[in-house]
Parts: sequence; C-alpha cells; structure tokens
Amino acid sequence: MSCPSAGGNWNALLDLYFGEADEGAAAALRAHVGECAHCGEYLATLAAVAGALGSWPDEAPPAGMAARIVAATLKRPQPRSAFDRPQAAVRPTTSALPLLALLPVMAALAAGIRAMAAWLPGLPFWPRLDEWPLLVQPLVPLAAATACVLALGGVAALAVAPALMLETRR
Amino acid sequence: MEERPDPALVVDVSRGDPAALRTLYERHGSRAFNFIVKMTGNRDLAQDLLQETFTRVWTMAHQYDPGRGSFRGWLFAIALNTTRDEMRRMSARRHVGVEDADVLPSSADGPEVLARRGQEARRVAAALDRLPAHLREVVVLKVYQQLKFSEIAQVTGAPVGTLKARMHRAIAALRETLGRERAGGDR
Repeated sequence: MSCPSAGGNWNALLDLYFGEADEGAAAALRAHVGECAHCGEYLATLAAVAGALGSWPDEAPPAGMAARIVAATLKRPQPRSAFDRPQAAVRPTTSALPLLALLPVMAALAAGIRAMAAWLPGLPFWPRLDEWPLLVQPLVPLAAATACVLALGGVAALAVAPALMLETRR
Repeated sequence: MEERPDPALVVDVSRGDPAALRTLYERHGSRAFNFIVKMTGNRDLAQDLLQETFTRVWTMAHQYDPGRGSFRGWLFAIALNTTRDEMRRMSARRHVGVEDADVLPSSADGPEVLARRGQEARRVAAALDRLPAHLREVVVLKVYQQLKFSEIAQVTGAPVGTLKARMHRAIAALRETLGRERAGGDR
C-alpha cells in the first residue's frame, strides 16, 4: 500500500479522504495527490467505492421498536449496581445517631462495672491493698471489674460469632 | 431528562430507570439499527439484535466507564459483539444470504421503505456480504457510521493501523466486486 513517490503509505490518504488529517498534513497531501498519479487513482477509487456504498440508504428501525425494547428489558433482572451502593449507605441519615443509640448500652456497662467493683473486694481471695498507694487503692476494684466485664463480653462474642457468620452468609 | 448527557443516563439505567433507557434508544437506536442491518443484511434479524443490544445495555450499564470512551462507542461495541455472536451461531448459513433475505423489507415496512430500496442497494448489500466480517465491520463503521478510526478501534478492539490495513483490503475487494467500471466511473 506504499506510494512509491511519496515514500509513505496510503493510510494518510484514508485520513485525508475521511477528514481525519490535520490541516497542515491535509494541505501537503492535496498538493502531493495533484502530482502523483498513484495516489490520485487511489483517492478516486476510495471516492467511487464510498459513493457506491452510499446507494444503500440508512435503515431506520420500525415504529414501536422503543416500546418493544423497553418491555423486553424490564423482564430482565438488573444486577446490583455499583452506583446503588452509596445510596444504600446514605440511608441512615446522620453519623451521630449510632453513637447516641449506644448510650444506654454504655450506661448499662458502666453500672455493671461499678456493681462488680463493689462486689469484688468482698471475695475471700481479694488481696489486701493497705500497702498500695492511696490514689491507686480505689482504682484497683474498678480495673479488675472492667477486666472481668470485658473478658465476659469477649467470651459471649465468641459464643455468638458462628451464628452471626452463618446469618451474614445467608 | 432529554438534555441529560449520556453518562448520566447510563447511571440512571443502572439504577433501573426505563425512561433513561428509552432516551438513550431515541438518541442512538437508529444508528445502532442501521449498523446492524448493514452488518447482517437482514432487517428482521437486526430488530432482534437491536433488542438484545439494548438488553445488554440494561444489564451491563453499571460496567460502563465514561473515562474509557463515549457511550456511542460502548453501544456500538455491544452491538458488534451481539452481531458477531449471532453470526457465529449462524455461520453455517453465512451472513444470512443477502441475495435471498437481504434488505428485503420486513412485514413492518411500508411502501416508502419498499420504494427506497433499489437494485443498487441490493448490489451493495451483496458486495458487503461477500466481505469477511472483520473487513465489513471497518467499512460499515467508517462509511455508514462515520466513526473516526480511533473510535472504531474502541469499538472493535483492533489497533488503528490494523483497521486502516483492513480498510485498504476492503476497498480493493469492493472495487473488484462492485465492478471496476463503476468504481472508476467518477474519476
């Protein structure tokens, strides 16, 4: 497909004929085609073939095709869209609400820790704290009670986890 | 709704909005149909394939990425793949046989459509029918759909240089088929 006199190829002629060549290249090509019999003939062939193809006019779809298409597509299930996910995430209005909902739980937890902190020192194996710093002595039952509550919570979570995982998979 | 850009409409389609699909059809349906008819040479088959094309738009809308090209290019790529799939299925019958079924009007065509189709159109349809599919794709997308080579590359997945080489081969084959006298008549 090379034009011997142009030293290039006829791809440039396709760009020229179909209007894809930039202005500078198009002007140079037109000048070349005016002098080059090979390129002139190729361009004429392009025009003749494209002209012949143009005798097959555009085909328009029949009336009612839009309704047929919409009716057919509505029967087809649509996969969950990536575009839908942000919408679903936005639904719980504000981010402060979940924290507010946790307040009663946190209050109950604090009350439980406090009750346990009062109960633990009464146990027979509770250590004597007389020699401990005064500032630390009231904190020890609270820390022990917190550790106990967290440990109990952890055990409870582990016990419930398998059931939750099965539910999520469904 | 009608003034919304194509990518926004595709998002609406992905959310299940049939009105958005209808708007996209009204914008691009005729060109897609024309493309499929030119590829298959059969209006009735083209209607089925156009429906399948838009059904795929409906189910695959969430996959469309505007950053990778225009909706029109994406639509033509779907139409082309749909047509290729069908033609593979019908490979035994080879391109539907233009001389028989060709641009013969469907029952939905009226007298105007019938009158429009002359001997020349049939000759062109038969010549296109004889082209291998990969050459016919380039000719139809370039000459009838007037896409740029870069857009055809997006639709077909072939490099621009390859497409131009195919175009040269298609032009040479069509010149032979349509007749040297006819092709050279305008010189």
